Amino acid sequence: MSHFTKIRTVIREQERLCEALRELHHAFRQGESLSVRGYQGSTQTAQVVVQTGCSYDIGFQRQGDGSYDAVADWDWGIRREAAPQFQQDRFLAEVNQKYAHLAVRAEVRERGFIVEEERVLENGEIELVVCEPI
Amino acid sequence: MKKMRIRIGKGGKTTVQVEGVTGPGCVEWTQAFEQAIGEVEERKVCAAYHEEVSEGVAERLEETL
Repeated sequence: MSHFTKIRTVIREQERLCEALRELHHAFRQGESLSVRGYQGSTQTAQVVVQTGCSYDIGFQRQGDGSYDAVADWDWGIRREAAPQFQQDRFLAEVNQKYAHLAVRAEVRERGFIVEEERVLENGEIELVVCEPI
Repeated sequence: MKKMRIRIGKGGKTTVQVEGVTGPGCVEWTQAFEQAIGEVEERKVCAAYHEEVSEGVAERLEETL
């Protein structure tokens, strides 16, 4: 082994984020300035809004550096009204993992690399072994 | 053969482990993957990182190029 790197997922590609949401079977809308419903009728704006099936939404808001942050009334509205798959830790964990997986697959394709092996480990991690073509 | 073992954890914490590469070129090899995913939090290099590419391998590389 020559090196080992730990990486934190940062959402930067809106299309890839939407693909991740689609693969996770979440309903969402895309737009430049969509309303994210929060506590007592308050709203924020976001570029991607996930419909949670209750009166509170989850939004992905573009930041000054081009990355996307998730915004929602996690501690009150989402916790009380939304289904378990929308609870903050679970929802963000699933979206980040799916986004990272799509990012890796896209890079593999773009560089013409070969996925030698891909599997889901017992702890839920996705493992890929990637090599250069001979 | 150059290989990357990539593990994507719940929450999107990802680790990339490189095998079969000597010298600092291994970091360049993984950089595009790292940038596509997010921000590097930690990088540990191993003994092979500090090894020089042997003369024979370097010659073969030049021939390939």
